[in-house]
Amino acid sequence: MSNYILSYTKIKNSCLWHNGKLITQNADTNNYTGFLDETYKFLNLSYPKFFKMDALSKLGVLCAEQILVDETIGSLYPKEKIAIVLSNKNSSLQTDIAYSKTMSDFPSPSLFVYTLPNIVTGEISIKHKITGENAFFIESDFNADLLHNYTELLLQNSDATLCGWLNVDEYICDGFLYFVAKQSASDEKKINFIKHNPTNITQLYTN
Amino acid sequence: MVFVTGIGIISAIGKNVSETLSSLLEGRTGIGKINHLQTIHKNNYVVGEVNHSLQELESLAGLKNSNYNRTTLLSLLATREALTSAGIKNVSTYRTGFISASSVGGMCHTELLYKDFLEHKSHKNFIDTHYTGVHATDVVKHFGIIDYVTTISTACSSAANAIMLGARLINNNILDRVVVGGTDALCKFTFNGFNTLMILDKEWCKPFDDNRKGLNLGEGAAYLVLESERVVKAENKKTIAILSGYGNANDAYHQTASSPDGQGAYAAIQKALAIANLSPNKIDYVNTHGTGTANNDLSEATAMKNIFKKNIPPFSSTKAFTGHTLAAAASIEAVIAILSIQHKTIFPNLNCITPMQDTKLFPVTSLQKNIEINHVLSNSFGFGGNCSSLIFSKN
Amino acid sequence: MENLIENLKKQIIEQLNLAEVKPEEINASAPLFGEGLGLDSIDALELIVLLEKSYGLKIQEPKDAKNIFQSVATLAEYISSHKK
Repeated sequence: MSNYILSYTKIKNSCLWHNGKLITQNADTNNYTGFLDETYKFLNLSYPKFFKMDALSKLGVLCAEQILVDETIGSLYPKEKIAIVLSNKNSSLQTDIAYSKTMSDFPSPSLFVYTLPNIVTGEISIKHKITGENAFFIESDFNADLLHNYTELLLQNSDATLCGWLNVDEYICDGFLYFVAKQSASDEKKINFIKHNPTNITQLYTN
Repeated sequence: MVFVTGIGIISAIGKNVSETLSSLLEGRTGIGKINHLQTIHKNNYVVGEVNHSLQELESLAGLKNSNYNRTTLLSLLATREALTSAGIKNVSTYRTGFISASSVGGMCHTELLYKDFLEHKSHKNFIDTHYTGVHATDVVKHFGIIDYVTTISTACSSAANAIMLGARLINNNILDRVVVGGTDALCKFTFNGFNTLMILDKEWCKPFDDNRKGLNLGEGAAYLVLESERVVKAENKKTIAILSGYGNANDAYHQTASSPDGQGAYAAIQKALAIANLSPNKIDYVNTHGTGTANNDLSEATAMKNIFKKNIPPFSSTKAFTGHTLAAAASIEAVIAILSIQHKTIFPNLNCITPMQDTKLFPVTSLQKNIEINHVLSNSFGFGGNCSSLIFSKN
Repeated sequence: MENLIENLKKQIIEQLNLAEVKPEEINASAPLFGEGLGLDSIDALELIVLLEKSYGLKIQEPKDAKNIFQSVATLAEYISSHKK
């Protein structure tokens, strides 16, 4: 049995991609927060809590959505055996800035809630009731080796892992999540799956 | 098997292991008035502050004009003690890594300096240290660790996750040894935020007390040196304890509150017991997360009742000694758990007087000596539903 | 009082980011927490901020807030009886 990437999504430059296919886009590539809210409507999510989230959590929830609701992928695995491993460079900096602006008169508790990068793993877990292991790494750049090595370790005890990179700054949001699980050599669908290694991870992220 | 061969710690109850142990044995809390943090809340709250200014910390580290911020200096001091106690003189003899954790990073300085940064270019050095991982890269540079470095940021369970990752890297023969733990300094941003969530107690916190009102923030750093069996044998090394179990799970309930029945905590503890191959009744002492908030203590007590059923082992929260040290909490409490094993002592849950009415559980409130402690469970639960548990065992 | 209730509904929607809720959909006497709008503990804290920011009323203990925040109507009642 080897580990394969079964599904992946990307949000960048006001485009949402799923398994390499463009799902939706917005001509205004400068306004990523607007794009995130529109993508929510486009996907018909019906999850009002979305609007309380900060941009990082919105990005994560949207990237995770199509992977986890897919009946041939996300739904096949027991929720307590799905791990989540995320990473970024900026931690929760955008929300830290937004919160610090409220500190001088009326500090906002609902903003403070999001001043930790791993809250997004909490939001994905809450929405999809995933109770497996979860981790969040801070790295100076997208690190395919870290994601690969850590996930391979986790898959010794978890059935599947949702992992990737979710980074937000003032101008850009950069989201890339993929779902990796063990597959037996005889699995027919294998021809559509991608072997889990740093080269393939990097290729999916950069293309 | 993963062995603990070195420990280092700095917090409100001492700048090293020896001072920490004295404070614990003498029931001397580190919670008190704010002396160093510049905040408008200075006179209204108590905290677990490390009793040294930035200059004094630099001096203790044997440095001058280092431009290291408080988070980094705390990390450096605890790392140095851990490496020394593990007898490591040359880090390049084996594949050695450093896995740290922090929530504040360099924010303790950038929050003070960013407003007039454009006028005072000399502040640039500190601005560059804002990012969470910078303390780790500074520390590995200082000690010459090159084989692996990363920083974990999962709120209050961060250091436990760093310890877990270290153990896994050793078990999978990716590293021979690894320095693992976390660091956090008090800062205005964090203070302000916790105040906004209304979970701070203005007075000395009372973990597991029925009248508890919230937590006291703290600061500090602690690191363990974990080494593989192969290295321990090759070096004929004296080991301090065994990291026998670890587990992590997501509570999947709320961004900051724990589920009423402590599901995430329960799952994390179960996983740790499974890895340690121990049944619940083998745990001799639980060092709880026990922050003193209404929510955490109830949730954690409920999880413990579900795991241990009628046989709840002696437990205590040591946060009434140190305060809640956030990303460093799990490693600070790991060191305390190990001291507990080494000295056959259960350290008390200070300031707890009235048992919780809902669960009727009551912690150990006075020092218990000459107790045979073979296995200690240490819990740390973070915002974002991130629940981690570690089990340390006697050699 | 009616004006206050209508204003409160709009302020609550804005303060709590209830983007998909319209003021006319909020029943003034329906519970705000649990059922109804299904608000949580963080929303309660934001309502405390709203009370101070817009009406100058400060609540010191979150526990005191439970009765005040039962519904929009009880919140309006509290404001009109305490407002300076």
